[in-house]
Amino acid sequence: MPFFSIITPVFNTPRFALEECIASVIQQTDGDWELILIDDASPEQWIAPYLRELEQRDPRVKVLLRESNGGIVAASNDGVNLATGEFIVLLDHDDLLEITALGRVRQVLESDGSIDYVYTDEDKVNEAGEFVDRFNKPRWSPERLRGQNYCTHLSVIRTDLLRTVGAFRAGFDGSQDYDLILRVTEQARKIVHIPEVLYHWRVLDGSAAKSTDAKPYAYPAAVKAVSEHLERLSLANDVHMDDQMLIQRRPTLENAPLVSVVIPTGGTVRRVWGNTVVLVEQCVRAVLERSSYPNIEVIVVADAGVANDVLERLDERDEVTIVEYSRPFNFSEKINIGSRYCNGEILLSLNDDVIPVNDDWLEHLVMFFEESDVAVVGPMLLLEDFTIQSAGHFFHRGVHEAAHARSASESGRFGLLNIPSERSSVTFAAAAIRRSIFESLGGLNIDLPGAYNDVDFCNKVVMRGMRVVWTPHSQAVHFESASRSPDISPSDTSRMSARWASQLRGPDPYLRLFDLEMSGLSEYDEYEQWLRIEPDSGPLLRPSLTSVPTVSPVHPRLTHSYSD
Amino acid sequence: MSEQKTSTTSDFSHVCLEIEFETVEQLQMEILRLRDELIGAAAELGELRARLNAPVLNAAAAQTKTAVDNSQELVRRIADLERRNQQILASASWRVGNLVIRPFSFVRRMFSRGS
Repeated sequence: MPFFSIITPVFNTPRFALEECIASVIQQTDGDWELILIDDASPEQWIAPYLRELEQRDPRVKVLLRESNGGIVAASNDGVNLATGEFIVLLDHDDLLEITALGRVRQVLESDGSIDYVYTDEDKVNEAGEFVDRFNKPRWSPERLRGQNYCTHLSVIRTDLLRTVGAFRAGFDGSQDYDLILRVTEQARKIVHIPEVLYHWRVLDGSAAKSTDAKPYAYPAAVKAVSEHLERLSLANDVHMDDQMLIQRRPTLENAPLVSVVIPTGGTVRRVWGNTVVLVEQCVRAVLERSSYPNIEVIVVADAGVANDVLERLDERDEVTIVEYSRPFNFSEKINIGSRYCNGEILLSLNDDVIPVNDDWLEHLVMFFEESDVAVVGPMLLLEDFTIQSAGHFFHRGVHEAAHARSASESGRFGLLNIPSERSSVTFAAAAIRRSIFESLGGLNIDLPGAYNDVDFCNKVVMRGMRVVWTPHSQAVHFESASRSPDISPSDTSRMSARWASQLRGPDPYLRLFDLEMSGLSEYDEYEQWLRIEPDSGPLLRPSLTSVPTVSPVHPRLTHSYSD
Repeated sequence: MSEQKTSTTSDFSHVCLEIEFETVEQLQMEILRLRDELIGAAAELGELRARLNAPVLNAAAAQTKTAVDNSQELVRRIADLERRNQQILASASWRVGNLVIRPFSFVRRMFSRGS
């Protein structure tokens, strides 16, 4: 039965906030914990005696009064040194734990002895006492963690592991928890996300929860933490912080593996931006002439009806191989056949009605294959009018294009549309696939000739414990009608249901709750239904604060309303 | 089709290698299909087992057994096919043939385009 050591460094905390913070611990429904309060030499005179009084009144409370101010890292490490629990719980001095938090974490930890790190959803509690900005986090998403410290609150870490990685490090003030989480997750045997709001981050003047300007020193520290993390993993580590305070990686490929672009085509001619073009010619030209990537071959899988002059013009390019396909349309089979002619490590599935937007679109896809468990990487697909066609797939009683028809300039909730991150699936209108994995997973399912073949493949990838990544930094335009209804037969649906009903029903592990409003599924009734079926949709229990051993009146401002 | 190929080469051995090449191609596509089917069967098993947890679905038990049997059969078939494929790929005739046939691929495309 895990015993928790809650570490809370204290420094000049507003009285009401510290009292509520401590109350939220003392009222935990699970009582097997110790609270370690480290006062970092607060100038506020009331703090030290208040903490001493608490220690005397409750044997579970330990207090350390530092003689001099050492900063958050030193104070936190003092707490770690005092901890006797099997797990360390990180709690800031003005924040609140949901009163069921430790109980829920315990349930999860007891289900599997190899869990080393648990994180949960969180929200903010504002100055009016309202709970706002609910952050529904994804399942463990290492790529997203490199872009932002999405795990941060609530974090519960196995004490042995925390000590093994060296606890908090000097030089990362303001992002010391980010640095710690990166190091812990590199070595954790198992990481679990609890999709419930178990932590409330206090918004106060001067707090990072209120303003990104509150702790400017935190941002270079965050960049340094991610850079060192990438270095430890021997990954390219050219990182910088963008204007939204998200950390971005620049592709720096030492070796550019050959990318085999497989383009199925029926030789369609249509008007694009006022010009009549043969789509496949436009696509091949754009791929070969616009891409800065140095190592590309193209395999065009052409229907028998494609005009000879088109094929001859394509064949004039040294990089192009033409493969004939004479059977009825089957996208899956065409890609599978094309894969046989690939020489590259990376197979890029590309519709003939897609063209890249940025020159380095391939670099931004290929960079993720540095890690062997990445099997598929998808770009941001835009429609002809530069609204979003797909930011990856989203599972919710079926398959949906995330952020469909939203503006490409939107950053999404918590920067979601600006950060490379894991997805359940991406569309194969444009997707890079590690070819060895493509072959080992049997390629695309030829029984799904038109729809769902990409979702099916990505589900196979995830089933085998590998990752599907989506990145906003590789962009391509897909000349597909925004209003075109998908051509899905009942047999396609039936096949998908037989294999993947549980996954497709949702909730999607990577895009959750408020992401719905980006996915074209914001109708109120669906939203409400989804709320009802979500495991974390039950009434949230808030600390009542009535039995808190405080020396001042209980702060009355906590309410239950969300105001997103 | 075979007449067209024969007319492109005066060396009969090339025609034989071409036939072997196409057989391997088909074989490899079949292996892909079977691998997909195998993984799909495992996924279906997972779905069926999940449904079995619900008390009402006794019928799913029979489906599960069938899926297990199918899955085991698929494993056996895949192993056979992969072994056969490796034998072909390791054979001298395949290695030589692949090199010899490659320059004719354009000619072959042109002829099959006209057919």
